[in-house]
Amino acid sequence: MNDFARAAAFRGLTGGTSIRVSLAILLVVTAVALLGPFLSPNDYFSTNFDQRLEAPSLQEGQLFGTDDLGRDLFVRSLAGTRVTLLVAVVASLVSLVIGVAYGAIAGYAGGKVDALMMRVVDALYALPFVFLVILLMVAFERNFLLIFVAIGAINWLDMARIVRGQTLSLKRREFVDAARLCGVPPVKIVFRHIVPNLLGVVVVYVTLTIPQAILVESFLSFLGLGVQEPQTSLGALVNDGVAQMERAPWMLLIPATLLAIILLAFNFLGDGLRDAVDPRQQARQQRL
Amino acid sequence: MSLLEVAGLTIDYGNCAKPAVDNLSFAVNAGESLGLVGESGSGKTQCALGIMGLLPPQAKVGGKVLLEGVDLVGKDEKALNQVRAVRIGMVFQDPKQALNPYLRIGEQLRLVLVRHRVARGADAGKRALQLLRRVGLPDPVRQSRSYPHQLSGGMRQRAMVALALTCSPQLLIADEPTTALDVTVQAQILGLLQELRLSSGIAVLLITHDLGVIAENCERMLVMHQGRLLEQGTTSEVFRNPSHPGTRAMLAAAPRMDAPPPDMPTPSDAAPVLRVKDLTVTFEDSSGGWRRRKSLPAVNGISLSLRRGETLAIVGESGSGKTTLARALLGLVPAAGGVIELLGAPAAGTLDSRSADQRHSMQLVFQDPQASLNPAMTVAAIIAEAVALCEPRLERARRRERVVAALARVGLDRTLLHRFPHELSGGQAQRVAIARSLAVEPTVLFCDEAVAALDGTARTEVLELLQAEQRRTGLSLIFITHDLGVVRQISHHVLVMYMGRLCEFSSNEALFERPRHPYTRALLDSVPIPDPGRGPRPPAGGIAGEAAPPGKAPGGCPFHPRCAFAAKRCGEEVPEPERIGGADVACHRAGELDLAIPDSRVRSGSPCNR
Repeated sequence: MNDFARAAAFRGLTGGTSIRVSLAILLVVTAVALLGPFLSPNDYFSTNFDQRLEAPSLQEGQLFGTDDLGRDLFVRSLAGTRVTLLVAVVASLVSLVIGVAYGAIAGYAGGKVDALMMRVVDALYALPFVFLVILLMVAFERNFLLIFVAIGAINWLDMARIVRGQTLSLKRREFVDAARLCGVPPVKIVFRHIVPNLLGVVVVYVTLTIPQAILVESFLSFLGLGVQEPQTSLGALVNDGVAQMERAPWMLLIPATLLAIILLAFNFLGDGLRDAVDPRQQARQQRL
Repeated sequence: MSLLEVAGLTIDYGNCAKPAVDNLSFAVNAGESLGLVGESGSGKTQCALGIMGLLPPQAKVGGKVLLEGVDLVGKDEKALNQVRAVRIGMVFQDPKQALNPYLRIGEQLRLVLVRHRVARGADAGKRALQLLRRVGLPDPVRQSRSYPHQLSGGMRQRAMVALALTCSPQLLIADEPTTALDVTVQAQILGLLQELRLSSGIAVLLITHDLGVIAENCERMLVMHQGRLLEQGTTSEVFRNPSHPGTRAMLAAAPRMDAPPPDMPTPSDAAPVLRVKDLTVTFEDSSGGWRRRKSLPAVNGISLSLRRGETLAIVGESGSGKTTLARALLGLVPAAGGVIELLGAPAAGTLDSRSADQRHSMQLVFQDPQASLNPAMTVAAIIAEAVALCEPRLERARRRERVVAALARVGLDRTLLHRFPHELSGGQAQRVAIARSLAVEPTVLFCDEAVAALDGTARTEVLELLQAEQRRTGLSLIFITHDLGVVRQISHHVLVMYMGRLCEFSSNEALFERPRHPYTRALLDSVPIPDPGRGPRPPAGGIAGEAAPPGKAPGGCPFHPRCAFAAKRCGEEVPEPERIGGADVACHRAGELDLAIPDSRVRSGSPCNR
């Protein structure tokens, strides 16, 4: 993009420990999840009733044990992680692209345009979410994509509101006036002068959005509206684990730990990025 | 023994090459007024915080702070609380931030009185009122029930002084107590501090960047620079005979209102580049609820004209509408009425409806250079944007050359190209902002308090840069400022505004030597002059009170409630600007009053530092 983004990314990658550690964790988790199918001879949907609820063991080749249908939990966990990460990526992309653009334009335009655009957001907010998903499921076939549509549709709303609020205060700043005086067209003011200065807030908010989206997905899966068997997600696995908690605690502990690691890594990444993206933060730290 | 003795005070944050305060030693005697002067970052505030034990925990403090022989450094909070407020009071720069916004003024005073067991119960309330009366707060009974935001700036600072006085301290540390205030109010607050010192024998340590304030208020002074003490001595001695070159440079850099201006670029006699007739700007006031929307005039019927190569200064206190006037001329806020004529052609009221040429021909340099540069862009990107707007079809390499040339024009070299604004010093950032404005080749450059945030040398350099540009290209400048010293040194014409209206529009010499409006005279009398040889200011120098808040403008002449010469007519009729002796003056009595300033105050008595 511009010098700023490059510098910020550079500082982000070389800067704080929290960024490096959390990025490393996320990269490892992603790599293992993507390579998962090649790491084990088992697949995530084959059932084996001779090996139900077996505890994790190295000898048997079943690292994480098996579930109540005798499926290899290691492979299933990796499949679930893939879905969970996909949800995270899609949710953050939707809220980044649509939410930031929508909010920044509404905030900068102000007046009637702003009022109209934000009423659209309010109207979408008012739709009962679960009901909407059920309607979608009824109207269309049960489809993996529908979850993304549903989660995407609610996720950008919060982002749009937050970005709009920030834009309202940013557009009164002097550097925006300076740009206007030089004759910079409004679209460029929004995307060159306002949006880059929002990145700090946006990054922090995206890290809040991701866990939220992951939780929404597991909630939908629990209701039977999300990922359908034999496909799975970490949320669905945790729910399966809750049912077998007393007989096979690993069915709960393993996916829950994975989920926690991913959520924590995203949170730490967000914290670190916020400091790196705000160019003044560095100076402040040096001064103190 | 002196009251307070600072011996070898060193404050180090451990992250810079130099400590913030380096081996500072001085003494404050009982009942004296000591001035501490220095540029921003010289460590003067750190020194005050160090004395009070208010430094953040990561600061390493060395040396001794002896209050009547007892060392305060390293004392715990409990012991310090027996010193703070009780024996040393402190007045901060911004009373808006130093007063708790959720507590009424009287309550804040009462809390301190009760905490330090000076008084309790109903007695505390009575003491609080006494204190408010002592600091000259008008109508103390009512004001003690007000919240800080309901008071004007000057009244808030008076309340702050009252707060510092609650336990009758022996020493008052005032850290830039008047920097956030208007000059007429500054004179009142400084007068109050003097009066307190003389009547109650409180020693005052006055910290400021303004040499004029020191010269008029302090017996002895200290000069600090980059954490070190350059010199100390009696004020008259230091001013007359500065021993350190740093002090000499500081004294020379202060723009003087009392010295005649050096030769300025001569404006051309051709038709004016900017002509403004009866400009009015109104703001909608919705504070009265949706039913009572009314429009408040922020700028009311201002006319002016500006020639090529001329510098016009717009002067006034905060709220006088000077910034709004500039923003309306630039098209950033719509004008409610009047005509703006730019280079002979009428200019539309809003920026979006002006042609690109008209937009480019007026540019603005802001007060805070950091705020006016996009923090997310490098210097190169900031200037390249302006260059690209002027000539969109320039190829990359050529554009780069132009950016480097624009930087060179303001005296910066290309090593700064890839820095972000926060990595620049204040002076450098302001030059970058000027380079951006000049890159679109404006005819008129507005400077809204453009040097107010800069220190001595940087300020002089920026002013010289602007004048050099004016000489070279015939640039016209509109300087919006409250600093009359700067006005005196660089402007050809001066427009004095009060509450949105024109008071006086006249030439530099006429205004400073023979002001015609009582408000102009009051302004001139309020400015502290860095020359201790001149003796105390005329007692009635300042004016009482403060400008009314917008929307509560008095009828008739807006200045009449504060005017020493107000007649009955002044409260009834708004005076229209009239041409008197080469100046436009809006005052009913301008014809009969003689407000000329006595010679001794106009011209510097001793050319000590020029």
